[in-house]
Amino acid sequence: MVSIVLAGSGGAGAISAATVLLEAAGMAGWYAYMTRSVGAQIRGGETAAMLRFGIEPVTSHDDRFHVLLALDWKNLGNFASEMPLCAESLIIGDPEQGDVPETLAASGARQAEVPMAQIAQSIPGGRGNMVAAGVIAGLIGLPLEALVSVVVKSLQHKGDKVLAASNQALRAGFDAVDEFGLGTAFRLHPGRPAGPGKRWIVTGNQATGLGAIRGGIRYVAAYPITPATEVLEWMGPSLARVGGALVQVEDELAAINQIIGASYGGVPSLTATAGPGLSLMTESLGLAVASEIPLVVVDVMRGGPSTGIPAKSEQSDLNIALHGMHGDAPHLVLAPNSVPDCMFTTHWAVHLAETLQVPALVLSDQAIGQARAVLDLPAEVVFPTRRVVASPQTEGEKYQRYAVTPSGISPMAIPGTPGCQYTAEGLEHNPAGAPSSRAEDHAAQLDKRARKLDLYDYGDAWADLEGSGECAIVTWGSCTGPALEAASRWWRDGAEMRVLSIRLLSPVQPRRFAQALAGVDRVLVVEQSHSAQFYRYLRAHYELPQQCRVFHRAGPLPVRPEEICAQFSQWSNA
Amino acid sequence: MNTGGNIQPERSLEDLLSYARTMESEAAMRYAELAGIMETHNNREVAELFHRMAKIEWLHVYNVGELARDLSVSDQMPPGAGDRLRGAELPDTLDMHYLQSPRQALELAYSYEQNAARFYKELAAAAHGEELRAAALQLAAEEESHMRELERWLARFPQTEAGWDEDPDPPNALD
Amino acid sequence: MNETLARTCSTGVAAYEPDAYRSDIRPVWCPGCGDYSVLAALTNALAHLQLPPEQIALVSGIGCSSRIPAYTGVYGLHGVHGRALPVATGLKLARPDLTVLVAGGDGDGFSIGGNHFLHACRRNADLTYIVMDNQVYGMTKGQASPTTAADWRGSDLTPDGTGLVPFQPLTIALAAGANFVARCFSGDPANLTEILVEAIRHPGFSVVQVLSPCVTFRPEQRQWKNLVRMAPASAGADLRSAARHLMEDDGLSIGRVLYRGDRAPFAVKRKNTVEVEKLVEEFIL
Repeated sequence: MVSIVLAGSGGAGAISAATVLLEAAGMAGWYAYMTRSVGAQIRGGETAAMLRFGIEPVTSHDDRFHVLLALDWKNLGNFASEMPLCAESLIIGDPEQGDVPETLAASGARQAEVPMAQIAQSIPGGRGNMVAAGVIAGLIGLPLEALVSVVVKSLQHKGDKVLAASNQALRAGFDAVDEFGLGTAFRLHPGRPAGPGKRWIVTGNQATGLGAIRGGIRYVAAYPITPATEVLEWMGPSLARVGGALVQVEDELAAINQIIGASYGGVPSLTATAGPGLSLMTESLGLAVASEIPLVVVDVMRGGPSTGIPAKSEQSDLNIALHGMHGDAPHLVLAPNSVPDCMFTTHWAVHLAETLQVPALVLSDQAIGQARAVLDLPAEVVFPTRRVVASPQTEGEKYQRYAVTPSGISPMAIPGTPGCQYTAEGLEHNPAGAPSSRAEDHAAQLDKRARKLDLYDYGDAWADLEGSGECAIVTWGSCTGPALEAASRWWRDGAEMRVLSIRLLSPVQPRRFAQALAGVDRVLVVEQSHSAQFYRYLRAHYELPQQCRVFHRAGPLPVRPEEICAQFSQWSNA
Repeated sequence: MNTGGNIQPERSLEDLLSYARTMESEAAMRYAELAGIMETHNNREVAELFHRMAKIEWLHVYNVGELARDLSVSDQMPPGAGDRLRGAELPDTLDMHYLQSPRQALELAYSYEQNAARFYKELAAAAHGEELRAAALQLAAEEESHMRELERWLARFPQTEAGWDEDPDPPNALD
Repeated sequence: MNETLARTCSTGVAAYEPDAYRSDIRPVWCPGCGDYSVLAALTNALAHLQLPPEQIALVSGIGCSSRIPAYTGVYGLHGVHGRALPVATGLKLARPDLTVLVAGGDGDGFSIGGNHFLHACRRNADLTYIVMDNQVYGMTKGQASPTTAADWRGSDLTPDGTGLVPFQPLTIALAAGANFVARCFSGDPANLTEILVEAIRHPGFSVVQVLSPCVTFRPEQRQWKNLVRMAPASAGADLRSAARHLMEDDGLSIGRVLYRGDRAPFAVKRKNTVEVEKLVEEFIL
């Protein structure tokens, strides 16, 4: 695999060039993975696209980047920690832009220059970022035809002249690799061609939306917030195409309450937000728990607390997702652990919420949500999603919305069903739904709402387990990719390592957890939060072996595979 | 609001009787509701009283029906008839107090009956037809007999004392 | 002699009596509370409209008047403080076939709920919002509410009065785009019934402010029955007259619809065009 950073600022077009490369890789039968780092400006700020290409599926970034190509150096030094380089790396700059910033040069990487701006100027209508794309393609061995076909598709509507200019620029950059002696060290050698199955290019946020619609969501109330807005923006037109609806509302309080109303009316409903929005929604989430109304809230986590770092990733909303509601309010918390898993986990969340008549929080994060990847299309998943509804009552029987049943699940009457009129209640209530402050009713209803979650059989999807042996990495969410990559280094050397990535965080699964870690005597917990929220959650609810450590750090820097490997090395040497 | 807006001398007999029936039915239902309110607020004595008054009002409804049969006239309430009672003084929840005494409840009921009697008498005075006037007078007489009944009940209860509405317990906050 | 006998004398052919819209739960409102009359007027209005009870939903927030759904025999949702309007909006947009009513008090609706009130007027979904306005927070024992006069000193939280200009719900409703605006008095339930019938029938967002006395914490409001007066017919002539009337009056003019607009109610456009399986196609290489 090869990892590239393509950087530039102020309209240089680094991101669009990177996107062309990503799609071209897909066309050429490769796999690829792309994330971005941007400055605070809406436009014109410093930008860097991080790409990783491979002939096997790519689900996370490497320890460092092989190539950094910068169209300019303005303020790029700010990002140095996000683009780790080493002596074997190659930094390519434009001679017109001056020297490589010290923070980047300090890596000891080899430096080269390609006059991309000049080359672009020599082509009428030529742009530097297309030259840069050509350079990268040449460096990594990505066939030029693949890039051309992508550009043709996207620029067709702008006319032949623009198309020709772009293609010329691509070729010029491609040829510059040899012309400027950049070498072949970073060529990827595509061994066997891509498998027979279909592949797709998608972001985590889009996959989240698709999973939701597949699960049956047909009403979304939307309030924009970084980095969740794309979930909503994709779902808007897509819902319309399948007969659903998305409505933009005045704030997150309206969003959560609108979906409570829509779901009460019988339509599976969802909203997506980030940490600050989830905080606003917690009171009404409690209402959904108490009145047993299903819904899904996606939280694309970002740096916190408060406004925090909106455009960067972190895993620090676990606490509020698990414990944010006042009172005892059992509910579902799930977390996808990769870009493709966003589709499965959201689909599953809808199924569980509807079946158990409870809110489900889906903790995605900015790293997964905004990453774009070329992937194998996953197999179709089928859940028999079914809300248990009440049928019209016969004469004489009074419908009891909150009847105390053995499973804890009581049939829900959908408005319009004759004879079953009831009032959904946030106040504690008796089985018929009338408000009650009696001890017996409170105990019975609390038991019911806890029991319905505890007795349900969640099956094997509660977590992903790979590997074997006495050492295990326990993690969740976007730390899973680096953990698997770290583990693969052991597996490659014939050694053993287990990786357990938990998808269902609430309700806890102590029995399954014990089974998954049977025989393990050393656990490293890996997570991206300053206060080790996930570690404390594990400690509170699960049996952990004596030898248990946590590797944790706040965002925005992603955990790198080598950091995980280093943790184990230090441990053994201690 | 006090209006005599429902006094329409050109009323037909059907009109009058269906109006009377509506008013009595409404009164009966109101008394039943007031009884319920008083029960929920643990004022058993007054609840009892209102239950009895509700029963009496249903009796009046029956009587209006009898009168209608005697006059070979329908007394059926057209749908939505409730709005034709605009201005009629019916037992009003606004006049209630959870601590009110049976005497106060009876005084209220007495004033309602008084108003009903006055209404019928005014209608009788202004009526254009003899049949109408006779029917109105009969209804007025019925109301006056209710009033005499209530006077007898009132005699059994002592005058209301000052400080009747003092509650030493503080109010509760519930939601 | 009892009511059964009397009722069997009637051959009224209405399929739904007002009682069909009542549950068997007795209200716990204080005797004398105006909300009893509102409940009665509402059930009369629904009976007048002959809507099947299972096709009606009543959504409320928190407060004495928000208790009303439990006392009705229609579908109800008793939500959290100030959020009834978005719940009702989501329900109506997802289930346009239902008749959706919203109820609550002045605190629930105009303090914590103020933002949603503004946007509900703007959105103009087909809802009927009944606000039982007693110019006090009754449930929490008598604090000033947004519609309380600036100099009312009856609460320990605002012993010198709030000093704030009282919220003018109907003026704001007009300015924000509500399609139907009226003020009533619980002491005239016949009039309230008429207005509610029209409000429910009128498409779009209908706001009915009902002056509904709180006899426990604002006992002086028992005088409202002597102070309210019928609004002049001219007030409801058009938007301008209504706005002018509301800006100039003392809040005690009642009994007439002040504005009937003709904005089309907000609704989501739905066309089922493709199967869900098709959605993945935009991503496939």
